[in-house]
Amino acid sequence: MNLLSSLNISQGALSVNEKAISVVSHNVANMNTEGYHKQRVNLAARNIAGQIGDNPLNQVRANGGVMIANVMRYNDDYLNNYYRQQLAQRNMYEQQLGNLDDLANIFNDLDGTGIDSALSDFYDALNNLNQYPASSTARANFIERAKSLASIMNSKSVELSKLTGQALGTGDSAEALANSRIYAQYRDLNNSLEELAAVNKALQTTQTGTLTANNLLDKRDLILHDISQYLDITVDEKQNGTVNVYVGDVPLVKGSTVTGSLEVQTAKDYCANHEPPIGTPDDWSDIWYNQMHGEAAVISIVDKSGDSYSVIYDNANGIIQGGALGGLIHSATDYDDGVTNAGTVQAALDTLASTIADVFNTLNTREGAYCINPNDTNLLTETNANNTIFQSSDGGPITAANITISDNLRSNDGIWNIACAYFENEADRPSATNPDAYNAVGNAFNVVDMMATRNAKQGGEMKGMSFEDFYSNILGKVASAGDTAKSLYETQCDVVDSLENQLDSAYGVDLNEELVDLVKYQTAYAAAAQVFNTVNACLDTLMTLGR
Amino acid sequence: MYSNRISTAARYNLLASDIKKNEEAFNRLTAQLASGKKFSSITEDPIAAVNIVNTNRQLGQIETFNKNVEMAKTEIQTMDDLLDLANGYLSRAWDKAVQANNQTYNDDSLKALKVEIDEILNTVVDLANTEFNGNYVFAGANVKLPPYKFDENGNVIYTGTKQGSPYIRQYEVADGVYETINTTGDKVFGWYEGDGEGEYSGLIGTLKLLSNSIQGVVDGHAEGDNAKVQESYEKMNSTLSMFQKSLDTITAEQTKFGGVYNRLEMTNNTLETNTENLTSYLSQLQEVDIAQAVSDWYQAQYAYQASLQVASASMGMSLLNYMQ
Repeated sequence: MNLLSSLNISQGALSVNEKAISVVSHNVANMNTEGYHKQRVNLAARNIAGQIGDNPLNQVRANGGVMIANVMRYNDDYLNNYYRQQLAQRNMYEQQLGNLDDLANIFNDLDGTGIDSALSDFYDALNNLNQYPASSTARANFIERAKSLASIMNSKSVELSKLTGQALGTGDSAEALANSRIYAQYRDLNNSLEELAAVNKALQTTQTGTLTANNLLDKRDLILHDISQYLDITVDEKQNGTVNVYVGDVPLVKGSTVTGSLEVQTAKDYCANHEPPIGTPDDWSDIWYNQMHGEAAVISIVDKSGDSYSVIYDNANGIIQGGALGGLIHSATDYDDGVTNAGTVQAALDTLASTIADVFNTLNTREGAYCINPNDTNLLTETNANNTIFQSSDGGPITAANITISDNLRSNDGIWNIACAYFENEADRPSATNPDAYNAVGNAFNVVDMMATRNAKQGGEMKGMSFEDFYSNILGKVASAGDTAKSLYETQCDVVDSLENQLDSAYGVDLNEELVDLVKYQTAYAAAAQVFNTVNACLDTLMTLGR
Repeated sequence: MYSNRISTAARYNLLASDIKKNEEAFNRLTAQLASGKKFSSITEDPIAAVNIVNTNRQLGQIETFNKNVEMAKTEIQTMDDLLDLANGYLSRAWDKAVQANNQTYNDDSLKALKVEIDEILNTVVDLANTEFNGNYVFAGANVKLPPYKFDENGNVIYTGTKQGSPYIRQYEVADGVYETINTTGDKVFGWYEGDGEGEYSGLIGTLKLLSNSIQGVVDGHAEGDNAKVQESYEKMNSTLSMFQKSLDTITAEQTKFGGVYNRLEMTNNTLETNTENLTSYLSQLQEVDIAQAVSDWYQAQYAYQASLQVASASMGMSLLNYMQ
């Protein structure tokens, strides 16, 4: 009964085109959905089984009309993988740049503010003191300048600690860690891992045959991209669309289980919890520099699936190199040689502060140096070993954070404690046999030697540089590290942008394409309807036969 | 037929990112023009940033040196003026000494002469005790106390820094270069602690000796002691060569500081040249070349405008516009 089969075929065509139009409408609806991959209906001719043999009618009988072979999802696995790698790299650079940009802002001395100008003012005050060593104004001015030098170093140091604290916490405070960027990031990441496991589970139950669960795959890829922002991952895709995710060799997600959640702890806790503990709390700062390289937070990978709790990787900082997490861990505080970041800059500032304090304290307390007698300001009096200019505010070694002017300069008579005078020859020093020399309040030879420290090359950690050279060197390093990071980031952004564009082009929805399809399917639908009507009319004609 | 597939979203994104790029370039140039500075963050040009900081620092130092030089010049000028005055007093006293040595003055004239010489001595001591800018000029480093005082015997004691001591005042006029800006009173004016050998020196010693010898002649006459008169005239005669020596000393000191003054003038010039060079270097480093920047700005503006126009024209284009 050929007419009836035609009726069936055209009915099938109507329903297939209806479905094709629904796919088009799904595409159009999702044209701006993030991560949506365009789907396309692949049509196939339906073949009705049976021998054809030598009978052409059998061939006609085998034609079953149209059917939907599959709904294909536009995709490019290679591009996806490549994109994820580049995305991880970009986010690593982004974190580096963010840190260095903040760092550069702290050292933006172009307008004549900051440590450099405080140092200049300090030496200016010394110059003034050389002209008027006996003047209380010049002395008070010097103390004020020394105060501002100390306090600007304090404030820069605070800003630097804030920077490192913002990134990774302080290394010993759980509260600081909880407020840090890495804390927010690792929790985001753990959420994404959970989501991925859930999608994997859905895929396991949904994508059981040869066909794909397109919308779930879209969701899966989106989550993978999310994870790549934080970590440089390796993705292993299975037949059923589920993916296993690894960082280094450590599996984070396997099928529907999260086998490796991230945990983050302060460096101090890590050292204490380590088996056996690393160091003792007493030599914490030493461990901090030498064992932890200034990494204030430690990420561990922990298997919490089911009821189990086992630490798979206790210090994963080493295997997390890329992505935002990698960038954050390794660019904020690492004390490794040659790295420029808030941590190394902080250490350099500490060196600067302690050397300045050391040099001026030595000069002010040395033998042969004389300050002015507060009881008779026309007379000199010998300085002593405690008569320092700088001290630490907390009693520890002097750092940029704690440098301050000495208590003996703060007192009412403090201004007279600056030892301006210096007699190199013992015979010239004030004594019972040389009483006139007690009147030499205009002697400024110690000040001259203090002024000479401006160009003096300092040994030790200062590596043969003068104070100002050393500072310029820090500034130059920060600036060029920022510059390099910026160009790396910009280049990487271009790479990622162009990849995003390629991906978008590969699987995004093109409205024109959809509209053409729409018209195509509409036309086919109308044509099928027409065929139906025609067959119907034929059937009517058939019914009236023989009347 | 091969054609690159491009999705609608990708097209919009591309347009948006191109507009953003042009906008960024435009904004950067606008900021440069508005601020007049090539860059605002040290990361934009690390080498220039370090150079700017170093140059600013050098300029600050030069400014300090310049101030020091001006101060030193004023102090030396003051000292020179004082020494000129001292020379005048010296000549006057010297003339009187020559006249007295003619041995023609009677006792009254000699007494009057002594009063005049004592007056000159007091004036010279006052001069040597001059305070300038809070410092006693001829006290060496003992700046807060007048360097000369009369003791109960009428001796003129010097309490300033002794001559030859390296510990006198100096200003820094160039990196690590110090110029001495004062001298010690005992060197230029001398002192008087008694008539014996080595107990007196310089102009003050001479004046005091002259005054004493005049007194000696008057006393000798009164006592009828001819030997004392003779001895006193000999002493008086010896002051003549001492006047010569004191004049030489003062003149030599003036010449020395004249030399320092000239050096300072030269330093002034060098510092000014350095300032000019560094200032122009600084402006090269950080200031925008306006002509260049304005033309760049217009270019960027056109590019930005063009991208906006193209975007707005092409954004609405799709097959949708032609379907019913």
